[in-house]
Amino acid sequence: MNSSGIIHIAPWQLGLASVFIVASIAVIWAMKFGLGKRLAWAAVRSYVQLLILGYVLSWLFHLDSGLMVIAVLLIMSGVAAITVSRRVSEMPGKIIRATFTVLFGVCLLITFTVTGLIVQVHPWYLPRYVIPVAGMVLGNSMASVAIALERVFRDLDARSDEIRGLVALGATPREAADASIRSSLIAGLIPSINTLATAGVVFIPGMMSGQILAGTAPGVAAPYQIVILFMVTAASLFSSTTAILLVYKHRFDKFGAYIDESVREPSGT
Amino acid sequence: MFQVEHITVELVGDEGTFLAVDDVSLALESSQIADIVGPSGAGKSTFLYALSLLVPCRSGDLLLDGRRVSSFTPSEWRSLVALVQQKPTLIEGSVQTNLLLPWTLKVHKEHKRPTFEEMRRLLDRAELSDISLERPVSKLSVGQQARIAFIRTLLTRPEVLLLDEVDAALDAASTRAIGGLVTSFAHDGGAVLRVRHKVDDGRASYRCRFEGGCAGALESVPPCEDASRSDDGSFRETGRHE
Repeated sequence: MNSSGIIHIAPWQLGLASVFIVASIAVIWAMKFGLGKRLAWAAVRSYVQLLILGYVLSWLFHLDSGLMVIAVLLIMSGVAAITVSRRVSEMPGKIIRATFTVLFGVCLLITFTVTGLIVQVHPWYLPRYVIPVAGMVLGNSMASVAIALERVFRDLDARSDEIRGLVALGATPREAADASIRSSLIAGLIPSINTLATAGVVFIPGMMSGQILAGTAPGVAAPYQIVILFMVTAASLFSSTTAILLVYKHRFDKFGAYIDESVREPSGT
Repeated sequence: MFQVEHITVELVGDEGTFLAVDDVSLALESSQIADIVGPSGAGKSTFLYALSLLVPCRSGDLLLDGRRVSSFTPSEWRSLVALVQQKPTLIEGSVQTNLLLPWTLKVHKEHKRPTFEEMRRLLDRAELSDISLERPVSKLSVGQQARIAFIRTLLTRPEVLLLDEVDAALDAASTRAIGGLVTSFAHDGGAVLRVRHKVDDGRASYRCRFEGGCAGALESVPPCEDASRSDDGSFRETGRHE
């Protein structure tokens, strides 16, 4: 323990923590999920990225230019969009474009609402606030968008007969896809609602724990965490809604007919 | 009234693209019923899908009362040239919820909703007199669901009905009942194009034979071989009116 009351984690302790990942990979291999490589690679990435981030952040936090901060947000949004498109694994080009637009837009809107109107930082781009807030906005939005998009395509395909029936009755793509859009939005939002409902009881938020561990009074840390949870909820909802509305149309042709495998293949008659 | 001009549909199969419908033309007048027959895989269903714009046509044109398909919105077109699919596609809920489903859509919102009596009358005529409007459709048999889906489209009063084997899952009495409803629809001025595999029920005055290769083959689909095809590809009277 040093003078500020924080217990430092030495390299050997970090190594010991890796046991968690090694154990997870062992379970995956034993059960033949086939995800072992991906998890190992993701763990290595998080290790390297976070260590680098430790150094990069101290540089980022001293950035003295609004444009540079925006550029950092652009890069973060880009990586998030690529991650979503990999997970959804359909129409990668269209997904990346739509998701990038949505994530960057929501990130700007929510982040600067929080830092500008609520916390009121000066200057407006103060990186020490803006970058971590944007990171939380993007991280949560990315997860919601990925769930919502994955879900909307799966649900549309599962309902393709019903959708074709609705279209044959004169439904527009929006009307035919409505039930899928709703259920996907709900699926994307449920995790945020659960997080809100259990915050402080089951789920002890990372940021608040971090602040308290770093010596901030709990009474100061709590309001921050509330702001963060509310902002993250709005970010998830806005981003998954706009992403779904931008993307679902690609499953319909210019005549509003649903595009699925069985329509394109001879169905036997 | 309803003209199909040189419709060609190209589909993607396991071995690349092929022509599922190859340059088919026909014309139907008001009150006419025509059957499309032919072996499985001949492109009959695809043809009906193309007429209701559910698969894109590579070329060709469609006209309704002299108006080109391009002058309608796809929704308008489908509300007038209405397809009933082979597989009934009902939504969760009661018979009434399903019968009134079209009026939840923008394209039908301004049209008058059918009354309780109109729905009841059609159900009775379709051999569904024992089914109440409140019955959840999940409790119905496939044959009953098929008739509900058929009645649902009939209630929207289209000008042309495209029926894709709607009586495939029906017993003899229900098949006759549906046939009767089709005949009355035509009698009231509608035109009907049916894909059928069952024995001819004598209700259609025209027949169009589809033949094509198995799925994926690039064979042409000669339409209307049945002596009812004139030089321009349209149907002629063959004297089989009832």
